[in-house]
Amino acid sequence: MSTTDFLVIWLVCSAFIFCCRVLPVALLQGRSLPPRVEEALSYIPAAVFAALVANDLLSPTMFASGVWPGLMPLLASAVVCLIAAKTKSMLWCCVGGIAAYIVLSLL
Amino acid sequence: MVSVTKNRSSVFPEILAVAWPVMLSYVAVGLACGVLADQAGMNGPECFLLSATYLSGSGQFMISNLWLQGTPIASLAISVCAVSSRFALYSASLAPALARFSKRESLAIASTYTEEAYGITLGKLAEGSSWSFRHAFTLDIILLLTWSVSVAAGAVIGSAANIPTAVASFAMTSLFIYLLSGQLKDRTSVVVALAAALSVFLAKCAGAAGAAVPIAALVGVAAGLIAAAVRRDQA
Repeated sequence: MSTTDFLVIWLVCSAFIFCCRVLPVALLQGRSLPPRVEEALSYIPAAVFAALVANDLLSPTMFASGVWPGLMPLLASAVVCLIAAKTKSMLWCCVGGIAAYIVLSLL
Repeated sequence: MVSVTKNRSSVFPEILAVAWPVMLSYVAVGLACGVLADQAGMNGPECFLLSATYLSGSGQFMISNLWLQGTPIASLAISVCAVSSRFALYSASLAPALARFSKRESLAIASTYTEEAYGITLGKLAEGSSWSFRHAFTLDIILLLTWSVSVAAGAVIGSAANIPTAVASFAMTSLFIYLLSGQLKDRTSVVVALAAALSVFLAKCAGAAGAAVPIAALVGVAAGLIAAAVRRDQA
């Protein structure tokens, strides 16, 4: 990748993402929004975090190299869910998740 | 001056207490991201610049992967923008919670948050804790710098580093599961999460992997609105 290629990619993507970050706050903050819009906004965090988790774990080819390689991250995730429900601790979720992933990948 | 110094020093341990598990994950995943960027021909300073200026982690992985696959620059930029458009949703949902801050403070937070910082700040503001602008902005900067330095270090170390990418990535997945668990407060939020998760899978099956997350987020929100409307009708 040449410096010119890098600069083109960086400038285009950075400008777009900067607008995505800043414009909603600039336009929505301090305005009283209709109840339905506020309700829709309140669902965004659950929707995006679920989408990010699913994006990491699910794909059409997840069982292409066997059942266990596809199933193993799901089982490790189930362990993280249990830890999250029990401890509500970010640290224990990360530590437990990595430990579960390593242990299960050794089986 | 004394009180300002005191304020700064008193918020720092509070921020570090929530930031350090995320920082550890960022170091692991950032190094892996930097190693991949090095393979795609980016050097340390370029990686730092890219990481510190609004690029998402997944966007950065995507740039390297698509470049190594020989994707044309225009397609590459459009794909990265599509996958990163979810930041518009983050900021839209953050806007009402930032009402307690000035416009300038809110824009500073919106310009610098990472996905994990967004989750932490949104949770803190929602639970009504004394999470100030100084807390939110310092958290943003600490995490942004941790990520940027880690990616740059990965690019400098290059292929000499032997980082188990899958394990490092699962640390991030665990973080997202933790952040999701804090959002599942009632039946409607569970419907939202299930609809979004299913939509990601279906979008990938349909060949729209690049835009799967923002599409799924919108489907999840729509499912939540429908579920809440049905519940209101039944009540």
